[in-house]
Amino acid sequence: MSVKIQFPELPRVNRELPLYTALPPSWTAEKVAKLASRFDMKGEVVDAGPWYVCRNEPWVLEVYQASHSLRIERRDIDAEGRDRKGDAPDREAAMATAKRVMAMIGDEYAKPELHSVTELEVMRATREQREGERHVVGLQVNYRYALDGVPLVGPGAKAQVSVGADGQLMQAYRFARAVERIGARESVAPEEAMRRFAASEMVARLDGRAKVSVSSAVLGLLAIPPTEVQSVLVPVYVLRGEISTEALPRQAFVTYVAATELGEADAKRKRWQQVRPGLLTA
Amino acid sequence: MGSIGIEWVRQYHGLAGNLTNTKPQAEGFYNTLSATRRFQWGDDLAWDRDFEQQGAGSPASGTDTIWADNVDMVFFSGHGSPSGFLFGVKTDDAKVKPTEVRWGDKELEWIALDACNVLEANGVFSRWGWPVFKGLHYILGFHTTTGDEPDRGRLLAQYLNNGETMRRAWIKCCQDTEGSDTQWAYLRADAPGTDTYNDHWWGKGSVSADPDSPTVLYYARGAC
Repeated sequence: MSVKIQFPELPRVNRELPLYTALPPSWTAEKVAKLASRFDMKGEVVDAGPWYVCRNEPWVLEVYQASHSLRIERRDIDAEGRDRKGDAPDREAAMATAKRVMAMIGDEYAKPELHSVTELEVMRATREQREGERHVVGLQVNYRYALDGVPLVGPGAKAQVSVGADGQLMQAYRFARAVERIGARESVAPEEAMRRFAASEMVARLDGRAKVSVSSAVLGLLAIPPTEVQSVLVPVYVLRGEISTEALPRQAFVTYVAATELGEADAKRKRWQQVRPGLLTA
Repeated sequence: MGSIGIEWVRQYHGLAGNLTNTKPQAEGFYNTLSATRRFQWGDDLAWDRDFEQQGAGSPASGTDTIWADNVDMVFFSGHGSPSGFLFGVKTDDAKVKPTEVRWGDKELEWIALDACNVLEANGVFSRWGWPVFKGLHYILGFHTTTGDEPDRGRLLAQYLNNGETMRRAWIKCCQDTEGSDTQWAYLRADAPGTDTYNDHWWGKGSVSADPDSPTVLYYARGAC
């Protein structure tokens, strides 16, 4: 007996979807040093594998060699708030700091869109107070990106500014790639994408007692981790839902199903890399 | 040089949905970290009792002194929930539950549980807190659902090889590999005379003495 799958209302999708190629970055130690100067940092730039790293106590700047991504971090603070220098900043103050930092980082690749403000939470438990005492040690202002109205999804297209109890920057990153539109590709119909999801390894091997519920299906452009080389932002359906089995009654999932056909032979001819990243379920 | 082991599960034989990227994720850690490699078990050879203490909980058939608690760091990749992490075969009950675990009384300092929701905040100290930490420094994991992805183990190892602290390396590799809906989390122990906050991988910076009898536990989480 095969598993029953509940699907949501499917999105309407154009017959063709835009295709964007990610332009390879051309970082050098000199360019990273110039970037560091935006943050008043001067220091030796070291090639540390996937990153160029510039240290200037208390700051560290990491620039990702495979993309146009960076992270800056302050090292002289206790990120667990054990020194208790004050409470977390209010939301407005955190957003003001974030806006200033994002301006320093720059928006030359895409306009960041404010997505959410989340808490950095620490709980401390002792033998006497076993359930712990909760502190909010900072606020995280989270940004996302879109291209021509299509959201960028996955780990490689987002930004975050974390603001500590003293109202100052704890850490910020921008994960992004410069892109260029190179045309369009015929889309995979949502119904076909759901059929492929149902045939995927994650679902097809479940027995008839399992339940699968897809709660949402939205279209996006998949950006893989900033440490990885990516040639094309792959159009995908982002499926969210839950699988229920006896051993694991509530297994939430987020998975990506290709929304265009990008074949290996086509990719090789065009010298594209990672058109079938591991994140794709089908 | 520290020693490591990995276990990963792709095939769940109907106990849960199969996964795709757990093998490359765990092997990325195993093959990248500057360490002595002790064991790598996958699918039907990855067993819950490899992580469990003999005589603790039920079933009480643990063999962690041979496997998980016999190395400095372990990386598990598979399914999880607040009540434990799941394996594909029932050598005892296919699930490592906190009641069956005592880590660090032999060797283990750090364990990464790359699995959904194991470190969900609600009730975390009563699940994974006091009885579990017997010298263990950290449990690295997630408060939320996490993705089935192939790169996180390798990136964790690369950050550690570059001299990053254990907590920063975990946070950074999670930021690199997840959307900001996912929340990283960790649980760590300290005691008089220990400083696990500043732990590094062996040979890459300071490593605290073991908190054999912890007096304080810290839990932290944030958006990736």
